[in-house]
Amino acid sequence: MVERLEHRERRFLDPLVVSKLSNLDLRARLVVEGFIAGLHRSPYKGFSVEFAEHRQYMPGDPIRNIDWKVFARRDRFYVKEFEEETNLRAYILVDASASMGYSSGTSVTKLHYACSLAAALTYLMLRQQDSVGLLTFTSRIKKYIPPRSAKGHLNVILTELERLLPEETTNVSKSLELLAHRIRRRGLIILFSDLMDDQASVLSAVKHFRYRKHEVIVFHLLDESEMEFPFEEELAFVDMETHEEIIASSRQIGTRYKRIIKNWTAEYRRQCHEHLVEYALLSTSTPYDVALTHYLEKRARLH
Amino acid sequence: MPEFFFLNRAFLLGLFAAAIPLFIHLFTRKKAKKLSFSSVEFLRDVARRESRRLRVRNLLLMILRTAVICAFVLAMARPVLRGPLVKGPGSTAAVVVLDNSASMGSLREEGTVFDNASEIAREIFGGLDDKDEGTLIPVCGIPESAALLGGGGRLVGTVGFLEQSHSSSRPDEAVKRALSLLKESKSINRELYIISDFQRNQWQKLRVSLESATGVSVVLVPVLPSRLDNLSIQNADVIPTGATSERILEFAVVNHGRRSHEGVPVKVLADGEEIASRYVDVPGAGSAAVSLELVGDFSEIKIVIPSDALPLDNVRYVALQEPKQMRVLVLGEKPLVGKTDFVSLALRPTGSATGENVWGFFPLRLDIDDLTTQHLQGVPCVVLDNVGRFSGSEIELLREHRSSGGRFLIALGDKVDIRHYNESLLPALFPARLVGIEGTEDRKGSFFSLSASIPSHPILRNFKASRGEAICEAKIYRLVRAEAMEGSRVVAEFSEGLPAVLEAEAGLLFTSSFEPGWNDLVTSGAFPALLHEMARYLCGGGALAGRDFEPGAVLEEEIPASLETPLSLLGPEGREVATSKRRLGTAVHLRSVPVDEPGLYRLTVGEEVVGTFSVNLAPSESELDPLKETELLGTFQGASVVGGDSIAEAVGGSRSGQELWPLFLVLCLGFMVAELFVARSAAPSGRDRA
Repeated sequence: MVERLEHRERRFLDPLVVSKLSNLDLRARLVVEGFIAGLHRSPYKGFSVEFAEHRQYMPGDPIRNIDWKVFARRDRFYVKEFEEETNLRAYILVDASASMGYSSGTSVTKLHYACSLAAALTYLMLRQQDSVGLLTFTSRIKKYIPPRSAKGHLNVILTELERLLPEETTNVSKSLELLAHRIRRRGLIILFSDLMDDQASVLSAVKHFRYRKHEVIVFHLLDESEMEFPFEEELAFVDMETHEEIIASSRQIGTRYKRIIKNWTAEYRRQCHEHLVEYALLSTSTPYDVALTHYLEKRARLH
Repeated sequence: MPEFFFLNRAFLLGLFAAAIPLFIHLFTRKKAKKLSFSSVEFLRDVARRESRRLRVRNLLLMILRTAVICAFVLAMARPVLRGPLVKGPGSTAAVVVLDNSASMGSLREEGTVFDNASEIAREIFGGLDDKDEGTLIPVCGIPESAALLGGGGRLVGTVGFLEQSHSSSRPDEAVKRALSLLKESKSINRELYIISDFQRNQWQKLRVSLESATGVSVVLVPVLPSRLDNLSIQNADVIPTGATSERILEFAVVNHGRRSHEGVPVKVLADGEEIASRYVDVPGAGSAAVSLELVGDFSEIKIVIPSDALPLDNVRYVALQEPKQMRVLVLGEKPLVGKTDFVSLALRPTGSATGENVWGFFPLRLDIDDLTTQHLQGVPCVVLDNVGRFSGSEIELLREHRSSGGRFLIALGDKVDIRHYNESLLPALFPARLVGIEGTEDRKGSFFSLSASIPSHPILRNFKASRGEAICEAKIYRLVRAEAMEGSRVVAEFSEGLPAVLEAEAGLLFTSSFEPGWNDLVTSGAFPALLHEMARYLCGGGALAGRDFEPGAVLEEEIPASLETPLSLLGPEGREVATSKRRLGTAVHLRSVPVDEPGLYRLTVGEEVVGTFSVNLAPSESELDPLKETELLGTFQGASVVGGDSIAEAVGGSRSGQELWPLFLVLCLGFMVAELFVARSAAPSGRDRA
């Protein structure tokens, strides 16, 4: 029974299922709630508290919350009320270059996947009182929303994510460099990108974050077809960013292409691992909880 | 030098199929479906390398497939390599073109040139094996169904069946037929032997190209008479003198050699009896004219000179024909005072000393208004000479005359009422329509010439002009444009294709005038001749005139229908010659099979001889001068000249060769295997462009 329930709830973590909801807010909630419901032990504990106000003791209130100093002064029972607070500043970086608009048709686009996941993380983090900022970029920085923890901030981020369309070329390294200079306080950098850029530059930029003591999670998003190359016939491949056209017999080049991609992602994984960067290679058909798990694991390590 | 050729050349057209892989390779390249891809960065290098490999593979496949088709087609075309270094006898097809023309009757030490040539032909065929094939093609009388026969022994026998002809050579036809047979032959060695005396006047103008005879070895075997000096009798003619029983026989003794001959005895026999003899001196390459008076009632003349290199042309036959009386009624309009009656004058000239009617015509001029039934009785030919209009009774008289077998010569002119003719006269007599007058009487302007539409027609055949060529120099300034209708035909025409003489069952229609106003024909020398031929034809007298033909000619004649039965044509030995007859209105068209034997041919009705034809050797056959070897090789480029004595060595000496189709088939299979290997090893998808 429990398994069946879990299965039903996990269904809402499937990108294709979630993508049927047009509202990003709803999508984020669905992902997060589904994710939380699927966990056996809730990671939602709160990390720090700050005093907010006193209120009169009511029967049933925990005795440990009674402020004895006030009782001493006023001879009445008052309990302390606390406000949760966070010390995490998370920066969600979303690559919105044209290549992120790719989908083989069997799944959502990489950008759609990235936005859904970014929204879910934003929702999750804001619910935990973390500050969340957003940076969207192509070959330039398109939008930068500084991190805030206010609940209304969710809408700001979601609105921006919803507005996001794939365009222009990628320059991941440049955007990361710019952001690195802008962020002073130590924080969590969550990068959503297909990393279709010069590998050395990208890794250099990522290392730069690490140099500045930021924690970095790289969600490397690729479509299934980009990894598996399931094409068979002769095709004219048109680059979505540069519009360069290459005609090739898919069957002839498939094996070699897959080997190149494998080496390429392996290199990212290896380098990230070396520099303590969380790297997650996700296909756009990967359920969202896999990504969220990555986040939580990283989050747990931060504390 | 080895020679390479194909036995089935038609299959080489299949080489066009070799273009199919190329065509597919170039034009049916599938347009690749476009696919937007995130980045082609990783594809670029891979694809470039792959595309280069694919291009090479496709090119290789295309070449291999083209090679497969080419090798297969070439194998089917049965290539043959022939030459001194190529072993293997190979099959042989030998076609012997044997000249059996009259000139081959010239004498050698033993027998005639033709006898010797036949022996050489036997020797050639004797060199063939049972697997070989061949045929004999005579230069004269080429059989319609000449085909290659198998077996040398059988072919030797066919030579004995070939007789010497008296006709002229037709080397073009014979060589063409031989080459076409050899072209169709599938034998490796294809040989054409031409055995002839190679008379210069016959073979020099040969128009057959040997360029198309690839793979055919042409061997020329000249067989010459022991001497080339030859005398012949030519240009024999009988000319009336004006006296009925007196004529002049003219002929020439022609020397075809360079050496002059003196005192050549010439005998003239009339109806089998010698009536005259002469001794003539004939200069080298010249001739001696002989003229003899013939007094008496003869029908056949034979002129004889002593036998020489070519005995066949030492006899000449001349057929004589007595003119018969032919009444012609000339109908015109009044008055004829002060004008010349050119028609009557031409039919019966009054210039002969004795006043005798040499030509046999008895014309009577009559005004149309005076015409009665009596005038038309016994008149086979009525000339309507520029009559303007006819009354109804006159047309009725003419129609009755037509019904009783009379024929008309209608001549037009300035008085003719075209509308009246179209409405009254022509519907009653002649199926034709007059359209309008063409030309002007202004003699400074343009004019029309008279030419034959049917040169063989009895009224035109003695004018030695071919179709479209003017038969005389007369200028026609005016004429009536006429149109032939069903039942009539155009026999002669003016320039621009305007009908000049139309023929129908009722007779002839001349569209210009027999008066000098419209043309100068009537005042020209050709007019009497033309009018005589027309009148003789309409009187049914054309068949009775003796004429001279050459061997191989078909004797043709139109004769009155009344003579049709029991008409027969008898040859020189009295044997009946096969003929066919066809009714043409009141006449019968008689046509014989080609006659070959020189001599006199008699047209008989029962016991009575009603016409005689003479058949004499063509003058060209008397010229025995042969082409020299260098000239022969110039005419037959690529041929070899072999003497009759060394024919045995020549035959079979160059027979060798090897068919290469198995090699090409193996190549084809090899290419197929290679193609399969390349296609499979390089294209796991199995989907190739070519």
